[in-house]
This record gives sequence, structure tokens and C-alpha cells, in this order.
Amino acid sequence: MSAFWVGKLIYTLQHNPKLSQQFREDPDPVMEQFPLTDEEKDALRRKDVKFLFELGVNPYMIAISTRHLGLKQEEAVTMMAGAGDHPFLPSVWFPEPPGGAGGEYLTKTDEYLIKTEKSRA
Amino acid sequence: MGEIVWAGAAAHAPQITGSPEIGGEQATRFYAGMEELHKSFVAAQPDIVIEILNEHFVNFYLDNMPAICVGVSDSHFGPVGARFLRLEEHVFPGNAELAKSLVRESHNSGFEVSFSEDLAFDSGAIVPLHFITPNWDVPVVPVLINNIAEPMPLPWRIYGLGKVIQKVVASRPKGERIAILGTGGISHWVGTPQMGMINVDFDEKFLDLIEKGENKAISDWTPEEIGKGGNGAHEIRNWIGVMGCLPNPESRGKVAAYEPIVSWVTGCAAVTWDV
Repeated sequence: MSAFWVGKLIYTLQHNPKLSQQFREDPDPVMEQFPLTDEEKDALRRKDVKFLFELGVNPYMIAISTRHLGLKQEEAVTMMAGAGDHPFLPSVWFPEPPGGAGGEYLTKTDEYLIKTEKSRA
Repeated sequence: MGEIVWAGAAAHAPQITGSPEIGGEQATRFYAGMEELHKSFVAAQPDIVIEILNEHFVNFYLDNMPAICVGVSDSHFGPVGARFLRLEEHVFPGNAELAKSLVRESHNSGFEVSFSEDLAFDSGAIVPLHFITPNWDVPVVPVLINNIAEPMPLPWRIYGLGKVIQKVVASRPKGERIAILGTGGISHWVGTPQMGMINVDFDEKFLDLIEKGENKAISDWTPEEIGKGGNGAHEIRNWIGVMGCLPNPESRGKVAAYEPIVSWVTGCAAVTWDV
């Protein structure tokens, strides 16, 4: 998943201040270390957070990315104006199993716990 | 048997400690609410605080996202990589024994929770603790809930986790005093075009139910209903976990502060429940 790898890059920068510094000075050698498409690399060079949002990068990761892209949060929000829906909405990404919410094997008991035959392992 | 002596919940937005100067009079009132929580916490004299919270991609990323993760170490370090919080890094004491018994009791009760022997703390843990345990002297048992990446655990299941915590507290040594602290929320959007919006109606409805003791009704909210408060509103699962811990499920909450602070992009609340 491309959004996964873009987010992984940002996660790595967040945990490695030196690498983050290198990324800000010259993003290409850092981006080479991740399996990113040319489009994704270009979006990062352009600090195109709207592209990243529509790609499906987790919004919390987009908020974190601003520090490493050199954007203020407010700038990033303005740039994202008019973005389409985030692709990873629950109904689209992880559809409900055929049994519906909760399935056949999960019972909402009065105590909000699962009834099991043995109470202890 | 141990006893739950305090239960509360508070916002953990990083601006609370990181950007006080832009919060205006609303911030002043919110801080006063946090001070009320601090005073009642100290008066309750807890021995341990079980903190139900979420983090924001510090310990975990999408290559490994636990739905529920208990920190089973005797110490936790933080804040990590978060100079914007303007808080010093330090070591928070934990309680491995209670944490491990929580993991065991969860497994016995149908919750295969994850555990970590080395959890770093971020704003989700530290911002409220900064007010409630400013000397970091009360051991913290962190219970991380995934509220940031779909699919997230069902809200009513986290309420059930609270009931498991009640069982664990009952198994503790006689006279041990346990506090339960939930963090996060209420309405906010993070990293989306809506960031900065606050659904005040959502927050007021949420707090109104809490004040009436209708905690169980909130535990029945669907993720879609919760999402109306923003992607950040999913953090109310942490509050729902606290509600599940209440010995009296219909205990009324007292709202020490509610301020929808646009410059902090969050509807910030501070609440305690009678226990």
C-alpha cells in the first residue's frame, strides 16, 4: 500500500531527527530508501498534503508530516481544502463480515463481556 | 480487595501545554477545571492510576497496531520527540504487577489484549498527568486503545474492558486505592481539511449524558455516530473505558470545564465521576 510507505517514511523521520534534517535539506536520498512511486516522491517534494490525504495517508500522520515538510498546521489545512473523502473509511476499507456487526459468535451480554464455557484458562 | 477511589477524564490536546498563549480566557477556564481534577485526585489519595488513553504513532505504526495494549513495565519514559509540548522528559513510575494481572484477567475474559514492556509516553499520556500528577509520583498503568487507525475496536467492547478492570481492582490487596483516568477528546479533527472545526452540539450532548449518569447510552454509540465529532472524537473510547470502571454504572459526572477552543482545534473537557 503506497499510503502505508509514505506514512512509514514520515514515521521514520519522526523517530530520527538527523534523518529528518537530511530530508529537509535534500529529500531525494532519503526517499530512495522507501518503495515510493514517482508521483508520491514528487508530492513530498511539493509538500502536497492534499495529494497525501487523497492517497490515504492516515490523517494523524499527515499532521505529523507538517513538521518534517516545513509546513505550519494551518497552511496544511488550507492546502487540503476541497480534498475528496479519505479513502480509508470503515465501510470501504474493512467491510463488515457477512454476519453483520458483531457476527454470529460475539454476544453482547449484560456485562458487555463474551460468555465463555470456561471462565479461566 | 482494592478500591476505585477516583475516576475522571480530560482532554490531551498538545496545545494545552504547548500553546497556552493562544488559548485566551477559554484556556484559563480550562486550566481551572484541570486544577479541580488535580485537587480531587490528591484528596482521593490514590496509590496507582490506571490511565486509559491512545497514542499518536509513537510506539506503533500501521505495520503493528494493537487494538488494546497494556504497558507492563515498572517505568515509562516521555515525552518522546515532542518538543512542542514544552514539557521536560522524565521517567514515570509504573506498576508491572497490576499491569500484568490486567493482561491475564483480560485474556480470561475474552479480550486478547497486547502488552508492551517498553511503552514511550506521548501527549496522550502526559498532558493530563502534567496537571494531575505534576510530581510524577503516582505509578501509572497505561492502557492504550487504538483510536487513530481503522479498524478501531468497538466502543461497547471498551466499556466491557472497564468491567474487566473492576475485576482486577477487586483482586488487589486490601485497602489499595486505584484511580482511573481517561484522556482525549472531545470533538476535533486532526490532519483533515476540517481541522479547526469543533462540533459543539456533539460535545454538549456527550457531556449532558455524562452529567445525567447515562454513561451506558454513550457506550452504545456506533463508530459512525462518534465520527460526527471528528476523527479525533474516536478518542472518547478512552472515556467509555472509564465509564466501564464505575462501580455504579449510573454515576453522574461533574464537568469541571468544557471549552471549545478553536486555536487548540479541540473541544476541551475535564470531568470527574462520583465513585
